[in-house]
Amino acid sequence: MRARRKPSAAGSAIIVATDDLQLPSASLPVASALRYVSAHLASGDDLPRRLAFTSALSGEGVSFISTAFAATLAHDTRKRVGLVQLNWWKQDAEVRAAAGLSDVILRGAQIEDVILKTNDPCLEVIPAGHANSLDRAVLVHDGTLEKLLDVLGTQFDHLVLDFPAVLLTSDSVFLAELADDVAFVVRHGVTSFDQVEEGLRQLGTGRVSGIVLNQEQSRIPRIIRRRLGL
Amino acid sequence: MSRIALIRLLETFFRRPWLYLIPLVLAIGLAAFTVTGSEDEFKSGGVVSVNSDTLLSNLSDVTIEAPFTFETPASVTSRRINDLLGSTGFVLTVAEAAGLVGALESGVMTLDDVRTTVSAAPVGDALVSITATTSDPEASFRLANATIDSFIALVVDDAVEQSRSAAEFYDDLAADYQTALAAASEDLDNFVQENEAPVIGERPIDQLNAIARLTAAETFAQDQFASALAKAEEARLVAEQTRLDIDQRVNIVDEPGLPFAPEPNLRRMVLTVLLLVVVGVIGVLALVALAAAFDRSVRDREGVEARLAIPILGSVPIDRSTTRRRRPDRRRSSGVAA
Repeated sequence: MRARRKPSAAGSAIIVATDDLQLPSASLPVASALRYVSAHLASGDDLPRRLAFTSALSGEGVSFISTAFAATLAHDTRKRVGLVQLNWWKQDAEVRAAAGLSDVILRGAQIEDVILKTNDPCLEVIPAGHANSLDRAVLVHDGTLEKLLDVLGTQFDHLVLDFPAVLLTSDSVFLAELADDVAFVVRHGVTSFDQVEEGLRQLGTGRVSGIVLNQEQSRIPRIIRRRLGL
Repeated sequence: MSRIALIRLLETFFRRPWLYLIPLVLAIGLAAFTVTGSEDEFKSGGVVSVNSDTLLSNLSDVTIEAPFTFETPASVTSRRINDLLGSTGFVLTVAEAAGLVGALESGVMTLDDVRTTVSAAPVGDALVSITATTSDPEASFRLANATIDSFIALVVDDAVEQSRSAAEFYDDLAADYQTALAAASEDLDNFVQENEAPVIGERPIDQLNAIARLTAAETFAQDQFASALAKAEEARLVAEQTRLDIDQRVNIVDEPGLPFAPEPNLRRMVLTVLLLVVVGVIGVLALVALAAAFDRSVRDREGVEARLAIPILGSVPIDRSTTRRRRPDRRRSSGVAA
């Protein structure tokens, strides 16, 4: 796998590029916000080795957040970070076409063959691969996935896991068992409190470390916020 | 208002400000329509004194004796006038006195129009202002005059009604007594004619007794008749005296005049606009509050931490520059099939 470096957009964004996938980049404000997430999640000086991102509903930006977080973490710490995509439920055509964990578990591919290098030598991506509805249950409940993560754990300092939405599939609850910490992504102004509460309830009390508000944008004019001290 | 609620209301409003401003825009439009469409109005009014020691106040049932009360002769009188304006009979009387029967019959004006254009209000403790405001100065003038005159006439009628009734009662009684007197006189005359006095000597004792009894009956009937006549006359005098007293003691401080210029519109226009703007603002607030109440989405950190009791790890701002694009020169380096 050949890494290809791309020039940084606007000189400030952390671009994640592989030969096979165009992944979302983290602009400076996003990277800055994710550093707060990293700081909150750090226990002492160490971040959890397996950190998962999930949400109540699909479309809340879990893939974006997990990718941007992995890129920011790799960029800042220069530790080896592996972005493990485990969302077999919602993938666009490009991601579905890429070889991934499903090929390793179901079709005997080698893990080394599916790992994609990025423009950052510290960050590598392990795509989910394609799985139909019958295969997904096998992928989650078969013990192979856990063993693979253990293997990946020896290769990377941190694994960032991209989970499917909790209310989309109950398999998220099982996948959560594989993570040391789970961060819950909530899309600002879209997801309802009831949905978030239900998602957290499904995951279980104490399993979620906190909430990452995604796409937060206050509509209140700055001058009013400043005047009211909001 | 809590900080969370304030943030939620503001977020809701600024999400779709033009939607929530619709009530205010409608109110301003209505205010503009009202102001531009309103016609000049002419006001005519008079002031009547209703001091508690005047006869008018007495006859208006104004009795302010309680040491602690907010009622004044003026407030009682003005309320009575306004109450009377709610009755069809009084309004018809006013309209007739104002010469507006033709307008009522032709439908140009209704009784409700008369009611809404005329009003009474206390001015201090002892003065009542009666005003009429219409688009026609002549009609305003007539209505104000007619209302004052009709009210005073009604008060006078109420006051003299008892005396008038008493006079009629005693007149009827006097007629009965007159009949009784005539009968008694006739009885006495008949008896005297039928029993002539003897040429020599006196009448027998039984005749004398009978004549004495008939004479006493006649005298009694005469006294009753005279008394009834006197009381009827007294009642008529009281009625007349009351009427004279009211005529002399009712004090119309200011006679209604014919208005020559319309009422200044600026104050009314400003009040109308202000009122409608306030209504519009209330509508905006109600709409925003309603929308915020029904909006269950997660919008603020404080709300999340307060309701879900879970920490916020971070807030990722919206990043429009980030898009996922399919690369046209996509090359696969891995031999593993998807």
